[in-house]
Amino acid sequence: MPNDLLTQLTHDARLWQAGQWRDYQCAAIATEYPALDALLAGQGWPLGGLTELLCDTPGIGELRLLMPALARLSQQPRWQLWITPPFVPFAPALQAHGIQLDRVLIIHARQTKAQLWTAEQALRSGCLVLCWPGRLNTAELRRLQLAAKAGDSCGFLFRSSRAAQEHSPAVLRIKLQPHRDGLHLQLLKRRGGWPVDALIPLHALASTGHPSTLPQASVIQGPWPPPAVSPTH
Amino acid sequence: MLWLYLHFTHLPIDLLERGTETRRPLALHLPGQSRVQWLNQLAADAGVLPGQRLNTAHCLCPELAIQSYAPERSLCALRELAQWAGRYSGFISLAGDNGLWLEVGTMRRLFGGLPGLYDPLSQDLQNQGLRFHAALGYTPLAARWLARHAHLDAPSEDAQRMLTQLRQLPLDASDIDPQLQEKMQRMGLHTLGQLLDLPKAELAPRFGQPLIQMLNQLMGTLPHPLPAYQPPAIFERRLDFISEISTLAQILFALRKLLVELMGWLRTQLCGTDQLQLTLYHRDGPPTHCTCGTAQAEYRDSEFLALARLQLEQPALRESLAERPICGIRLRVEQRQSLAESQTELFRHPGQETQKHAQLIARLQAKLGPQAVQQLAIRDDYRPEHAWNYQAPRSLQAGTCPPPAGHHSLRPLWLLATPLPLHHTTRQLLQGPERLCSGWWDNHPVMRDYYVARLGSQQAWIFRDEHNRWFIHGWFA
Repeated sequence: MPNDLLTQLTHDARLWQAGQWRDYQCAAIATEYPALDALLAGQGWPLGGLTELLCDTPGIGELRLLMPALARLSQQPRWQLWITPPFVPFAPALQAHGIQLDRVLIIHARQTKAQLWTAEQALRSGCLVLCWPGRLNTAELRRLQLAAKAGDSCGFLFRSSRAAQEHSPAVLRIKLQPHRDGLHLQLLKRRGGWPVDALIPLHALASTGHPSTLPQASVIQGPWPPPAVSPTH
Repeated sequence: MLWLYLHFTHLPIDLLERGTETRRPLALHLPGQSRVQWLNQLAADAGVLPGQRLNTAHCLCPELAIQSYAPERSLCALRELAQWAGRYSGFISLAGDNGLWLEVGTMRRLFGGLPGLYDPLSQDLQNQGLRFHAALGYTPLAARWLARHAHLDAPSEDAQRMLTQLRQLPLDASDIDPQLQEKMQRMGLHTLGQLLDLPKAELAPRFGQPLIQMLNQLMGTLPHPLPAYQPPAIFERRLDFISEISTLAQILFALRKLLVELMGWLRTQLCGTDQLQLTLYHRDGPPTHCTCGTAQAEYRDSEFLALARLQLEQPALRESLAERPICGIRLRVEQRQSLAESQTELFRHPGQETQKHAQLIARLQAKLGPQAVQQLAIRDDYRPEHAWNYQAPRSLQAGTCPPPAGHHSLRPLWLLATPLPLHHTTRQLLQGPERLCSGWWDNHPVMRDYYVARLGSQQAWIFRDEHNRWFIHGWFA
């Protein structure tokens, strides 16, 4: 029945009407950033699908964007696999963000093929996956997307912003750009909506607040001359 | 108690012949003796008889193959059979060098009646190429004597019928001392029934107390304790190939056979194992060892095979296989773990998820190596490079840890393994300094002032050491 098919498609948010996309129900994990939740179908990171995060430089807040969701998911007994991270995930900082470290597995795999194999296995088993792969072709991405769908799990791929030009079967694609007041998000693709831009106020370096507002007392000056605290050095 | 006795009528011949296709006359002698001890049908047709001198036998049948046969081989084969029989019975005992007792009374409900137990068992034995007699009895001796006399086609539990059959047994089917048997024959006693009808008080002075005890054990009035067969604590099997093999498929084919045996071994003990040791033997050079580990105790051959395949598919191993074909494999399991507590739940339970996750870790470790899968742990140290370390993954536990001890200072999510010299000209210090002076006791002293800084668009964790050099140590990702 064509009508049933239409209902089904709209129900899954694969087909959406411009006026009402917000009403569709999809499984998601809240990002805990209201400005971003409001833009995503299901008000959160999509479950059962890949999310691509495109950024070129480290240290712009790309991980802090995920931290609230990861911290809440780490309360559940499921693994969070970090597959070949580019740097060492600093355990004290992860813990300070509320992540239970015994849920985190770090996978060291040098070859892209092994990384993708691991990601696919983990997604199929319902684990959460953070992956930093090299160049991927559409077939590989589709395999991961299908694995995430089969395991009803959540996969985050960190890719170079050059990939923005390529086609991708990922459910959500976000280009991350640094901004003076936080993180500028360019939602290239999302469920039930057209591309849109967003600004996430990420000025807090951690949950403790803005660095400039932190007290600087109890700092002992060293035996060597203190650095000139000036904007340029 | 109901006993099934398996009497292997031609065990030495069957053991030697089961692997070969072409039949030829065969005679076996004990090492150091020159008389025929066992022979096959073809040799018997040619006129060879047990007890004949080997020279005579050779003259009668020139194409006769003569082999020396140590009786320990039968015993060894019998132990293997006892291990195999563990899937049918919980209590097994070896009898001499050609028989097995199986206690089947307690097992028949599991198999849905005696035929359900006996039919697959006899089918298995026939597939193994072993000829045997089987009989049931309510005492071990009754089963043994009945089996030695005649084969049982369909098992029957009828005690009355069993007794009738027992009474009709000739005396030479029994374990009675041959000298006593001869004495009885001369007295006109030919069947067991005639012997049993005589008053015991009269028998004892004539034939001695041991016979009375044996008859009492036969009728079940005296207990007959049997030593239980204990499976070995270590599983070790070796398969040697006639020709060298070098492809993965061939190895896996052979390995599957061993793993099925292993599954039988583990199942008889209600155990699982989490480590397999696989050794590949080459014609020359040292053997290759590999170890397959599972994250939790496992017994199924399919799981082990999948893990072994991942292990053997590793490129380094495959290349070495191409250069050095193997001529044998060995499977060894040293540690067993009880499987009693891990039973399947009727309803979906969080434990199932844990098991799935444990299997995932086992797969990852088999494919990538145990060092490639690690967890993070916190160490009590102020120095960032020593404040964490990797550790082997522990099993996933439901429930939550206590909340983390509050870290008062800001720490970056990315830490650089080695600090990067900083040549940035435009750095904006946002917070700091935080002074870390520590580690004078273990030869890694640090004297650093840490700052949170903005480098262009990035936020970094930088420090200045005592020589006034600047380094990046982390990114606030």
